[in-house]
Amino acid sequence: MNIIIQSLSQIIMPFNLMLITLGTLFGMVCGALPGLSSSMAIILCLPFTYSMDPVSGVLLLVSVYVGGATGGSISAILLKTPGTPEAVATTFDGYPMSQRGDAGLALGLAVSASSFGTIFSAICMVISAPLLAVLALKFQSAEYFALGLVGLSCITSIGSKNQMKAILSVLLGLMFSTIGIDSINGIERFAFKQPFLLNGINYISVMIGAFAIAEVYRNVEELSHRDTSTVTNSKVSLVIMKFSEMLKMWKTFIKSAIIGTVIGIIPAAGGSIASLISYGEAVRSSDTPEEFGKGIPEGIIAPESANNAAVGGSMVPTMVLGIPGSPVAAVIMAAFMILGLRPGPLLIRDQPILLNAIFFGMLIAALLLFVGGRFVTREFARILKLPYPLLGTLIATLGVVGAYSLKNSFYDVAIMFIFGFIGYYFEKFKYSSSAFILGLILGELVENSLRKQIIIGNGSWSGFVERPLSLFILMVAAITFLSPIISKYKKNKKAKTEKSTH
Amino acid sequence: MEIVFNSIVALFILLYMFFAMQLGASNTEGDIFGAGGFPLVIAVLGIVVLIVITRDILKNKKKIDIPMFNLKTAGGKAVTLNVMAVSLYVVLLNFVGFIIATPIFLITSAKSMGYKEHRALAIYTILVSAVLVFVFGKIFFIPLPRGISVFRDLSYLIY
Amino acid sequence: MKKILALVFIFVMVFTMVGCAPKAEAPAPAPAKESAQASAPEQAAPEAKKVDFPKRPIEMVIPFGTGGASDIFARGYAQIVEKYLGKPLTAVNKGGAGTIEGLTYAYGAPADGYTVLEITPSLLIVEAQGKSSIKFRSEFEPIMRVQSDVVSIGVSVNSQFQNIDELIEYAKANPKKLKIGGLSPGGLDDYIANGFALAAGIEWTYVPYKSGSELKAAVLGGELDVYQDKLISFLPLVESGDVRPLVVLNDKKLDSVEVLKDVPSSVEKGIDFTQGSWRGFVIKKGVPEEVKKIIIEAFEEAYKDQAYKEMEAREMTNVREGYLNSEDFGKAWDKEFDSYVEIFKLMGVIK
Repeated sequence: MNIIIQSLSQIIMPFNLMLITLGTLFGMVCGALPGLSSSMAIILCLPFTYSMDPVSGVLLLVSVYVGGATGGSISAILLKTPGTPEAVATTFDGYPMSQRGDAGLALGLAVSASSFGTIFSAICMVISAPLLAVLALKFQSAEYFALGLVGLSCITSIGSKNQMKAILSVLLGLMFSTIGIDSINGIERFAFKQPFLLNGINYISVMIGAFAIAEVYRNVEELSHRDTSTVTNSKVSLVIMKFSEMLKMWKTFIKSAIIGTVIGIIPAAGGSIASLISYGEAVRSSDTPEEFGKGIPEGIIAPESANNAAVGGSMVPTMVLGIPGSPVAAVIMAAFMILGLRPGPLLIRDQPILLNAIFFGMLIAALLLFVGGRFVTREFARILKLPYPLLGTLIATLGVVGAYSLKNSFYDVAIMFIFGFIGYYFEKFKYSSSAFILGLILGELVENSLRKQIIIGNGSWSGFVERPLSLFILMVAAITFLSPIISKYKKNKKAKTEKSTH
Repeated sequence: MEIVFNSIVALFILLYMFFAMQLGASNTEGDIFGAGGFPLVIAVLGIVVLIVITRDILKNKKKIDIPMFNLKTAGGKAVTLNVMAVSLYVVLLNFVGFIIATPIFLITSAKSMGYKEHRALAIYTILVSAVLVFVFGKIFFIPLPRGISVFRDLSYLIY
Repeated sequence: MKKILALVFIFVMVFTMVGCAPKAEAPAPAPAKESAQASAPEQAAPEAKKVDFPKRPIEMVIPFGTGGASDIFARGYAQIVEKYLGKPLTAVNKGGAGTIEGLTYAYGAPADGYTVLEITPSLLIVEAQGKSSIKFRSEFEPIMRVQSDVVSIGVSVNSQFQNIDELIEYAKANPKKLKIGGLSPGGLDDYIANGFALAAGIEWTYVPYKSGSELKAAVLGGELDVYQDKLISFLPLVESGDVRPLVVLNDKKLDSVEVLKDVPSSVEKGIDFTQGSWRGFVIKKGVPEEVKKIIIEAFEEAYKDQAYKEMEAREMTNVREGYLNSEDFGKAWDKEFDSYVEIFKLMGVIK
């Protein structure tokens, strides 16, 4: 307890508070702009930390990380352009809600959920980091495969309107995920000697294309029947949800935060998988699954709470074992080393103040988001008041610049362009772009861990069912996959019997 | 119409399967799937699902309206124009660089969607270009496209 | 109309403010830079006057994604070189396709000295495997090799193997049974695992992982039998008691590293294999001699800088001398290239 008070007094200094505020804001801008990643934001802040004392440096980097995980939702909600891969699930309900006119509500919910997820995972981290870190080691190839299946099986919930087409979309996504160098034996697959395909298809450019650009095409098509100069989205409400109303959805908040924290802890899966699984779970367990995708609050809370909880989760193995729980955490760990700190069991024992610094950094950043962030962020919704020709042009420009910035390459712009068309046709024929991206994101994890487990088991499959944790997760996957199908079947049957009795 | 789409998807999956079969066996001990195993599994599943979907379509025919590239409709025209504007932008980026191509695109695209307020458009164009160059080029050090010869030298003055 | 303008204006202001913010935070490092610049012109100025180079920032192409060891190194080194060149070096990450994208990008830039490429053994491996149409060794010229890493091999503390002899004995009796991890299939780790096995007369199975974290988790979680890694990643796990070090791939024991000083070296054990990673810089062939000279001098000066010595100590890359000047670096390529070709042929990666 003493040490907590001691470190708190060291942290709550005007300079540090300013750093946290600036770090969070910088992270949010970086997260909101497609093509700029949190790792990049952290690396750009790194040189400034050289001259600070380690605690201040850590506070800055951690707040950038928290801000980055939050910022992605802004562009996801307003422009249907996920700024970060973690925000992909936020577009599912966030964008419809802002189109309905409740952009302020959507942004407020996203920021509140983000801040809750951060606080939840920070508390988990500080209370039981050494215990939780063990989880990172329990997850081996068999468990990763099972987890990947849980992610894929969300498809029956996410694409419940047309399950067959959603499944085909996932399969197509999986197919695209196999393009590039095979991760087990280094053979080129489906790359046709093109260097830009060797590293696979970047799913951020696919996301920008299939969501944002396709949406621009759709809007352009629709607006062509009207005189667009005068068309402005006049009903942009900036009202945010009351605290008491949010409390009613505590179940979604907590369940998503737990999912996010756990998935954040394990190294090979991070915020994007956490938010997709959390969204799928929210749909599956909801009483009104058909309302998802039309802009309901739970559809924003679930992914945002989970992807920010993954931030705290990913810091757990980083601090305790020196094994970063996510690529961004790996950058933070590299930064720690530059600051002269070496994460690992010794660090927590010798410098407990550092763990507390991370904890308070996250906590203060989250509180800032909750208290002030909701009101600042909702002002961004005003951008929707731009006449569509200007807004649509802005989205297209941001898409091109964002895709280019991923690797400073036009190939990603071309991929974005192609998926703009694919996303457009998918929508017309009732296929699911979200499902496609789910397959694209999870494809590598599933294939890679499947084959690794079989290699480890010398060609045998038994590892998947012999390992208790793997078996358990496989069962979760089966339930996730089947329960929406069964409930739909039951509903259809009920409808039929009702019809026949009438 | 949807049958055409399904045929394209089928063709894609079959091609994918064809290339997957060319991938040789793995020389890693115990890797029973090899590079082509997983792709084959998903391709077969894809074909099965596609057949189910196609059977459904054939049973209850529905007409879907696809205006894109259909130049007879206003929507089709607008989308085609927009696609062309973005393509032009990407091509221009390679030749005249970011600082010149972006304003050109912003104006063409907004106009092609029917925007008429000239003054607002001018201010919007300058602001958006400036902010993008500043944020991406100056803060994040993204080497935005510079174009060739004179344009390349020009860009070095700015970012 | 006015409203729209106001909106756009607010939008711009927010971005500008936020964007400026981190810049304003950093007044502190500036004095260090000034003092260094004051000393720098003494060495660089006479040459610089003749050809007036550099006139603008130089691009440092990093053929890896952001955040890895090679990225952090190149960015750190670029900051030191900046003191001696007088213009900043801006980092351009062109990660992907096992360095091929970075190579292609640097090859496509004009040979005017404004593009410097960071290299590691991966670029030689790409050429050895013929994965790119660009012949690296004949298209680029060395600036210098800055540092080299030592790779160590160990096992989890729960493992039955107490020392390297037991491990090799078991591997000889059970060929291909042991699993050793690494990053990237067909890359440097694959080469080291197989090259070591060849030199020791054993066979084991190499399993590639996507990231260092997954690799470590697989070792500690018991999925992998053998762990290989560079010092900076290897050491913390030894210090925390999770990994038992068995052998360091070096000519002699690493006396300067406390926890590894009793660990035998590969050469002592009769296994003649000491390959590790290294990092250096190249420029495209055809850069004018004067310009090349200025660049090489600035990079050499940076190597002698105290700031680099500190960086090196932090990264633990000072355990084995990695420095090679431009000429020796170029010669070292050919020798290494031949052994890549030899081992990859044996592995069946090259036909």
